[in-house]
Amino acid sequence: MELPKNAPEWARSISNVGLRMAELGSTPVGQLAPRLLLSVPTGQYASWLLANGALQAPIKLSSEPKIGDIVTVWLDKRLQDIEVRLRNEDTWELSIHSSRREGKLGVDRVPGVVVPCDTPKDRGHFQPTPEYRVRMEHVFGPTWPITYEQQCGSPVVVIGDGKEFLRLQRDELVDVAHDWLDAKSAISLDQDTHQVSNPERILFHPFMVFSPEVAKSHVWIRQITPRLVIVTRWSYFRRMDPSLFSGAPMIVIANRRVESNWNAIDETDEKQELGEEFGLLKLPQHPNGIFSRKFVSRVNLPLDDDDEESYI
Amino acid sequence: MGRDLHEAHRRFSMAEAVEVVTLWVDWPEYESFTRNLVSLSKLLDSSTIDTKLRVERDGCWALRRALQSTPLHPSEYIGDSTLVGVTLYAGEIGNAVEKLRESVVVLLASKNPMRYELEQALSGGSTVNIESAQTVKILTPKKFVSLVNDVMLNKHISDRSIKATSPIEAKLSDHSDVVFAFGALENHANFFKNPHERSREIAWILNAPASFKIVLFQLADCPPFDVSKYEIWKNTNQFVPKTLGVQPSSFIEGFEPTIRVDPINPTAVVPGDPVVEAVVVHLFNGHYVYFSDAVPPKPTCIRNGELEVEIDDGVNPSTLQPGDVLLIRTGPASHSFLRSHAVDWLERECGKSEVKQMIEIVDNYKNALKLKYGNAGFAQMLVADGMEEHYVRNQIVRAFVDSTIATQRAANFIQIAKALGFDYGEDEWSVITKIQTAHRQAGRAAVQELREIVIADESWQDVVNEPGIAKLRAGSVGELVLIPVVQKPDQKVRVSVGSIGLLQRNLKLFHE
Repeated sequence: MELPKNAPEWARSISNVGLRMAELGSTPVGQLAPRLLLSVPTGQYASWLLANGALQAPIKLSSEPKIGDIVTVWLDKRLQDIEVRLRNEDTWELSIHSSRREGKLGVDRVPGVVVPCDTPKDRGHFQPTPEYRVRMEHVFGPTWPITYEQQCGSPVVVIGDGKEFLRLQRDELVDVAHDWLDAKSAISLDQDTHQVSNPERILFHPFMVFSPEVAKSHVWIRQITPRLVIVTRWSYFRRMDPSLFSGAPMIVIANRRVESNWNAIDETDEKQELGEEFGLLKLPQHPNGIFSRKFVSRVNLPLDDDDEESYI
Repeated sequence: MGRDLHEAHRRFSMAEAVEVVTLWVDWPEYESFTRNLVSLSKLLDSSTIDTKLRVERDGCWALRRALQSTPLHPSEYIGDSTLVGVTLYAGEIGNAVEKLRESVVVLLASKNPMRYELEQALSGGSTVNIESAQTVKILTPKKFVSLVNDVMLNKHISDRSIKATSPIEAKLSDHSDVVFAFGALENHANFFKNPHERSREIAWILNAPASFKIVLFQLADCPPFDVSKYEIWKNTNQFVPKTLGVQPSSFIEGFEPTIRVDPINPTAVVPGDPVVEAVVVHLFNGHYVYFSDAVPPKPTCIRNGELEVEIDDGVNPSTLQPGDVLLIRTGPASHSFLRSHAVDWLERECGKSEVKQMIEIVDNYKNALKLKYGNAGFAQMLVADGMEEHYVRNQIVRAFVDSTIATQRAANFIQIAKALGFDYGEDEWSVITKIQTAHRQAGRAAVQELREIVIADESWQDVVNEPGIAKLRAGSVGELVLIPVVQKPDQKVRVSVGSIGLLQRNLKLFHE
């Protein structure tokens, strides 16, 4: 069976659902956040098609940084962490070496996203290759650094295991079915990097791939709110720290070839207090064989109640 | 599955357009045999019977399973072996045995009509149209794959690629244009699951699905095909089955043998050994294991994934279901591997002499904490300083478990250490965090090692599905036992912390 040049209906449908869910706002602590169970006949490539849609959604930056906050911003030809300083009584500034960004307090939003207070200080920076800069400029236009900064500040996160395998799927999708992807999403997904699975590199890349246990060793990461979280299996959703990215909309993939798929169906039966807005949200029509079901889960405050860990 | 976009595209396309056809097949000799077998089994259920009769009855059930779920003729399955016994029995049972034996003899002389229907379909002479199908799979239980392949290859039915395959192989391999299956699809599911869960286990064949077209031959003892059993959630089935033929009028009662599992009487606890509340998980063939929320280890299950089996660790024991396959580590290495892996990792990072000092800090802390078991004054002292009593008691109990290190809260560690008489501060806490990191690394390495072992040789799947107990050698992780759960855990007991997670054996469990 040959691959069609343009995205087939199933691929469009999955991308559209990724877009629609990523358009939903973040949910405050204590409230019920929107989730979607996506039932598919194979889990292969679904994560990346969802990401393709989600990367087209408007970016969602966290609250405006204040003086003294550390933010991840584009400065000095790279994405890096910089402290927001007061330049004079009504001006903020971000500066390093001879590079500077500044604006009026209360008028111009301080750019970037605040990094959580326990984020490692020495996590480095991201500097795209010359070739990747040219490609981004071609797709995003002359303001590509700002677009890239914003894409990274509102990342799409995939939670799964076998991270290398997920990356290989992304490579194949980008290489073999480039026309199935939105041009802007494609450039965001087409990163020549092995750093997207390193939690310390979050906010340097438009998408990240983490294991369900990422918060155990990187507790601070729970404070970041991605644009969309895609969980590749129900068992990972259950195993995740309940406060991990819990304010972000999430899609959990229920692969019908995987046994734990049935747990997802039973357990989402009990999570149907959708609320008016999410309940009325119209999702894209799926072709036969793809089904989606809304559910909700409560946004939890990060708590260190997991007192002691032990592996197997 | 080829890990490529072509195969994924095919799978979505198959789900969109799947066609399911069921065809009723009449086989009077089989119907008579099955009726007599059910009748005898009901008489024998929950009774004590002699070994010869049990072997004869079980052989007949195996024959029924083979004929119901494959296109094999009875003679091909039986070969030169003898199924019918010669021992005479008295009374009602004796009459039932004789009737069954007579029907076996008649059955063995007959041919499986599902084979005829299959051959007709393959050669284009059937109402089941598979004209455009180039690749054909015949779904059979794993133990019959080789035999079915032999008999089908000898027939040279067509130029089509025809291959017998087990459901697990079918799930992992590339697509086919049509899949033929025989009897109830649930025959391919785990023996211990309840009927609802069995339907769910094999639902992927229809709704994932295994091919563009699925043809199911059904005998009189199969329930009519019910789409709702395979729905993903209510009203979400994507296919409407087409039924050919008429269900044979012969009525055959269903029969499920009674399986009773006795409660476990826990052995006496060792004085000085902490006791925790645990659930009893009953396993195949009289085995059982305790798991507790208070202390590790948690159950580890092996589940079927899309591309390979998956190791689901940290499972909540109360969610275990009959048919789940537990992975239990046994042997001395299973107790020491986490520490030895962690020490290796630390030595690479910090050097040998430093690691020795680091380990001493943890060991001193845990050993001192163990000595406080049963010491109410110690717990009360910490409670007076603001700690919760339950938390303190749990810390003491966990000190008895090899795989734990210490609390993950710095302030609590320093406070407990102080109460134990140690002058520990931030430096010792940083040692604890390093060792915790080492354990985390060791745990990941161990899970990876386990995954590689269970994937490298998947023959254990056939063993546990038959059902049975599979054993695997697992390098530095020790020996592995893969064993099915037979009952949803509902018994709680208080047992020694040292017995949590250990495979145990009850001498008598099943009643026949």
